[in-house]
Amino acid sequence: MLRKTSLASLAFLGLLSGCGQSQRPLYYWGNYPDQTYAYLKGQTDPQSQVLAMEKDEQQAQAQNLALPPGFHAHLGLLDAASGRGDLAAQEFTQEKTQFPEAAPYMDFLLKNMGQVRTVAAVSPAPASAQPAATGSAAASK
Amino acid sequence: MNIRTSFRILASASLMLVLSACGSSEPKIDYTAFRDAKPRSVLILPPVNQTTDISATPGMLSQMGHPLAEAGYYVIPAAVESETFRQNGLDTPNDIIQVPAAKLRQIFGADAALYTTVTQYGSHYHVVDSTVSVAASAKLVDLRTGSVLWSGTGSAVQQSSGGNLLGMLVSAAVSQVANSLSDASYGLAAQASRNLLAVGPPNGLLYGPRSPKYGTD
Repeated sequence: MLRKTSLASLAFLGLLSGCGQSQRPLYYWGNYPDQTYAYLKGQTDPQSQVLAMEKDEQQAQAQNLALPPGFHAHLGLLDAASGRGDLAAQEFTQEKTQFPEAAPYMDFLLKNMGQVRTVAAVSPAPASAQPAATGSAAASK
Repeated sequence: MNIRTSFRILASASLMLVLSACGSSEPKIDYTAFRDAKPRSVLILPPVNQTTDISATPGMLSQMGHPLAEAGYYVIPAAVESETFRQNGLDTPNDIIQVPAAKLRQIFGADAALYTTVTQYGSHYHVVDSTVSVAASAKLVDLRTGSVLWSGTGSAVQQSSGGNLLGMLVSAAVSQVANSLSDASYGLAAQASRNLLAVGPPNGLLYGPRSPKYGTD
């Protein structure tokens, strides 16, 4: 009896996931577009953005969805704006690990931070955070 | 011109109308260059704003990444990109669209760039009602060759009271955001972005490499 019920519910679950397959998004978006909008309008500060995005990270994990393109790079920008260059470099590196297509731009940002060689994905950056402002993303004209 | 001749002209004109109506389900644009280029990553340039609402550029820029990424493309992060432009003295969309494709490719490493113009953003007041509308046109340009891979338009309209609905009526997307007019435009910008950057026939984008449907269209 019990076995029959569980079999039936298993089949039902399978049916559900089958239905959802075409609808399932590639990414968990959460507040990322809204955070980008607030950033572009200058209506936010890095700390509150980081907090909101950390919640998105947890939600993405809970729903077993990947974070969207640019999410980690945006976090890196916020870290750089807060003077946490080591964290910023980690986020930029994570962006290109998740999306190899991002590598040229992430390398450009890392190079402008002057940390491209000191930060490896495997080892954490030195504790002394360099005062890397958002200006670190500047390109030489 | 006698009556018979004008009749004939009218007849052929109506035949042409019928023909064009038949053709509307066929793809209107040539996808050959798009298919050959196989772009993997897209740089969405800040949209040129032809409206009086200064929120149009950030409203669209922040929300066009969603449909494009879900279509299977890597999208350069808008806020980070804007900082890079700003640090290089490029503050306005009109300045930015002047940057040569090769230079954009060199810095951002993107295969293609999306050039967008926002033509409507905000509310219009009529005699009996008011509408909030967002409309934009865009073209996807190959940054390696400079050739146009795709172009299209998209819009969303919300009407405050009855009457006939023009374009697409969107109420669900807007009810989620607060009721100020600028927020209503922001909600509609999401819908307009989805319409503008929809995948599929007759005029939509092709799926990108990160979509499970890549290569099926």
